[in-house]
Amino acid sequence: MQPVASADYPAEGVENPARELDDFDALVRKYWPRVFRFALASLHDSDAAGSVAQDCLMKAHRKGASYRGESSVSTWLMRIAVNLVRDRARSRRMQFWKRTRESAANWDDVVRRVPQAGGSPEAGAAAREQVEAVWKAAGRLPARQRTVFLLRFVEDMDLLEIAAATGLREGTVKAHLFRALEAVRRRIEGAR
Amino acid sequence: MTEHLAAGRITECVGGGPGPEEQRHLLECAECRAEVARLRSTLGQFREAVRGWSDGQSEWALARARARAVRRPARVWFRWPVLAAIALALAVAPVYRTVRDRQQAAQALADAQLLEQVDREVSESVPSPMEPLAQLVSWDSASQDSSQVSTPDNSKDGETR
Repeated sequence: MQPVASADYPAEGVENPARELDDFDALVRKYWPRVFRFALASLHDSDAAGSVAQDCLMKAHRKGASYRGESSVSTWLMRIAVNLVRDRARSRRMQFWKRTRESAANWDDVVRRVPQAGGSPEAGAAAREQVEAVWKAAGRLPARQRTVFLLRFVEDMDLLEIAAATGLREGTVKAHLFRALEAVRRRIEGAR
Repeated sequence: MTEHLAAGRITECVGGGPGPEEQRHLLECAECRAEVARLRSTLGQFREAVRGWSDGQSEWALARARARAVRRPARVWFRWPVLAAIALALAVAPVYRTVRDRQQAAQALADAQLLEQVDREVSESVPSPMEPLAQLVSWDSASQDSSQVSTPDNSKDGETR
């Protein structure tokens, strides 16, 4: 299997991707934002996301020898991150935090970031409502669907990359993505 | 023109990309094209919003993670003296125990000797400070005894004689 290049972090141009894993500082500089973002979008908790990103990069650095180059370093890191997020979300402590913090207004912070399209205030408000609908729908998706949805629509990964990162078959990824997107679309329609 | 794409097919167009049939339809149908574009646009805004939200926290989270990572080795270094002290205690413990056992044995021996001495003294009929008096008493009684003993003997002897 050829290394799969990610849109943001192409494998091309890196002579030996495994050597990237040797330089921990470089690894952090390059991949921290992406791993942290995925963890944050999944867990909605900055502390937990920071721990996941840290563990993920340290694991990758320590276990660099086990990297076989079947996917890009980025996809391999996302695979580690997906597993760490899953473990974290399963833990009871995380469930507790999830319950107590879900209501805390993460959404307020997100909605401020909805890009202003330069339209009318009404159009801006409508856009924010729709993005809010996506946010809420994504938060209610089953774990696998949410992971696939976030990898596709936040991380811009293609189906093959998502399959490599989640350990699912491409067809399964497609099915999860379809269901997730259907749920999101229905929610958006409800918000219109 | 054929009828509009079903909701599921709109979803497929956005999720996995339109197939040849959907592509043909989208070229002809402005309404379905707009529907697909609207969903893509909303998802694009969602992506930008989440990325902006994450970027706002990423640096701070990284700084905290670095601080944690710096503290970790410090804790490891702190652990070494504790481990060394435990190892030393484990190594010294048998020596300490031997010395203590010897001391206890010596003490036990001394105690035994003392008890033996006390027993000896107690077993004597008269305490040593009173021995001179006892000798006097024993001498008197001895002489008395001898006279008492001799008297009947003598009388006996007298009678027999």
